[in-house]
Amino acid sequence: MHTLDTIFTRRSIRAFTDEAMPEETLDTLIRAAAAAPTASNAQPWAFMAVRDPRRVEALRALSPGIIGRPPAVVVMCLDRRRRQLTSEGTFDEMAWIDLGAALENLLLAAHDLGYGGCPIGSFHKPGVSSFLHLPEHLEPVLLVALGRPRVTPNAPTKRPMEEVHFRETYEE
Amino acid sequence: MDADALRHELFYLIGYMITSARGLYDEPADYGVFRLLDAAGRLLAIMDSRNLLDPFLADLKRSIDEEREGSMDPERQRERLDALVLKIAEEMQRRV
Repeated sequence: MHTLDTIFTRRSIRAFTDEAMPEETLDTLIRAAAAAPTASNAQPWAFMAVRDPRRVEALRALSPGIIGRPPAVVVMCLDRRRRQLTSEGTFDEMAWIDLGAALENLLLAAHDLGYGGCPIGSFHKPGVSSFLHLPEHLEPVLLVALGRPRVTPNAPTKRPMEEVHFRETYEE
Repeated sequence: MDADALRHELFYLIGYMITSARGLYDEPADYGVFRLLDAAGRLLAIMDSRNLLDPFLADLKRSIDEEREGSMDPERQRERLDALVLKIAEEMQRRV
């Protein structure tokens, strides 16, 4: 698929077939995520791929945002040890943007390979951390439900471009 | 054996409902609608896997699955839920 086609035809997929997701495919998706741009090459992330149906079932219970029955879930974590400190001693917020870029890479790669996914922000962080034995420095930020699409929703309404795209200077 | 399997599936459903209850303190109020619909859908799926759905419940499951799986469009959801509740009320009347 051409890159722009992949971008414009991607949808958030919440309903999946029962088809299992091969480990190699998940490896490819995570390689795509880790190829994202990252400020100062900090790579402040870790990705946990969960395919065991019993673990996915438990994640569904701990993550109300997972609507369908995905065959796989990738847990995207912020690696606190790799966050950069600013000159004021506060954490560089670019880490969040890095994770967003990694998420988009992962979703586009999935779509390109005929899979689909949906980022999930509604989950119980301490519960998921405990269930996955995450160490202190890894904070789960997003879950991504992944699998073969069973239902592909229509394109959602987007804001008109004139509301969001400006040329040279801002004009109402 | 099936009792064990059912207990297992209901345990996860209960876990989901309690996690949802906690999450709603921090989430938009509209999410509560989806959580309850999703819980109903998960319960109907458990019933379906044991052939416990009659035609009305099977139809209800289809309607709820459509609500859960489409793109999130809350604008007309209130009307669709009103229609669904009225159908359920009619069915309840029929079953009394």
